[in-house]
Amino acid sequence: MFILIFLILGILLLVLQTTFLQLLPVWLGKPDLLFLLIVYIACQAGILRGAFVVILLGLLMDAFSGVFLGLYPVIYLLVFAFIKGISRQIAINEFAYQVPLAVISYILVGIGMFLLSFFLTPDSPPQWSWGIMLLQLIILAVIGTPVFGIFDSIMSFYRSSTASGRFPGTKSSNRFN
Amino acid sequence: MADRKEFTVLHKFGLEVIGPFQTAISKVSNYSGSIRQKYVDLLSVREENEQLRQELLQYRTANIEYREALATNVRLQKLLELKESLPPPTLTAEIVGKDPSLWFRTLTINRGSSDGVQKGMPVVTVEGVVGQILTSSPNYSKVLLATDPNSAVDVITQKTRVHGIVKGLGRDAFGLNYVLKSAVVEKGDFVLTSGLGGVFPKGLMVGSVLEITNSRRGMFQKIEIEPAVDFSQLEHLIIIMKKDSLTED
Repeated sequence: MFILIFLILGILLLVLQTTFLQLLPVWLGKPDLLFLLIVYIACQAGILRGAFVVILLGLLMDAFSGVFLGLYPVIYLLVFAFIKGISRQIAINEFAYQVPLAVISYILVGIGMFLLSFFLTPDSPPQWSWGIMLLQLIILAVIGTPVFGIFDSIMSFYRSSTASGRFPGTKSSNRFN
Repeated sequence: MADRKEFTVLHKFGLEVIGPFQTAISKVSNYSGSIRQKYVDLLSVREENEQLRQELLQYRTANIEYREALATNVRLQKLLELKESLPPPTLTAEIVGKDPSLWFRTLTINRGSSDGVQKGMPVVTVEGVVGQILTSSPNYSKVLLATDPNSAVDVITQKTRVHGIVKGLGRDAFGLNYVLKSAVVEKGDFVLTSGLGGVFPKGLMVGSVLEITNSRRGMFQKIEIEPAVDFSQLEHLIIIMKKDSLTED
């Protein structure tokens, strides 16, 4: 159920990003809603289910964007691993940490995309633009809170619809549960 | 009988007393009647106004639709003219999605392998070269735009006949590569496909020379090309159904 809900949500966001959001003026940038979903899944879901959804969304993104197949699943998995690694240090499933974490992760994604593209086609290096990157980071920071709020409502709906009410993919401390 | 026709004093008194009241009441009732009539008229005017506004809105919408249809007609007419000038067979396609990332420049179109679309087929529009087919599913294909850094097109300058390779710069501009410093390239000169790459037919518009920089190092000039195609305004495309593409695996 968790996988299905977030997969459908990811598809909806991808469709939105490739169609409606492309009509926005250039100065408004391209809000990366799917990336915010990846960050949210990494913050909230368990390792197995979360990683599975992230790979599926990466494969879908591959179909609509980019030149190298497999690039997005790798990048999204790295983001997932990075956030999971941080989650051992701080309680990142708290709302306040998610937006800064998304911004930092996006910079890492940018660097990752640039380096991987550079190594895959050294004679056609991608263009790095700090201006565009900064605009994207500002957009993520601005829309992060409301978008995470929407994801939270969907997650709450999912939790209320499941009998246990546990975080999906995480084991309960109660051994009899 | 004649006496009975005349008012008695009582009648006269009643008439004189009640008359002013009658006058006043009839004036008030007339006035209120006229107000009511005005109000009714106002209501009907309001309804009429609302109706006229709606009609105006309908006509405006129809006018916009008409203008849009006219613009589409002109655009498709140009596309048809181009299609007839290109080597057959060709296929028209519509853009259904654009690449959401910052790093790549691709499009999704509504034609796929079931329509005969294959990897490497050139995609053009009335203004010039758009890109080439990257991958295709039965009903949809992904187009690699010429502005993507991974794209390359063999070109020639129209006036000075200098050969080079146009590569995307990841924004709405191309770079003309491998042009020797000894070659003469003029600002504003048109850049066309040379036909040598084996992908695009000869003579398709690519863009015009925007800027030429000659650095001390290296043996090539650094030339920036302004694309002929406005990549932000793309709607309909033409796929040249060329089977022997060099880009095929």
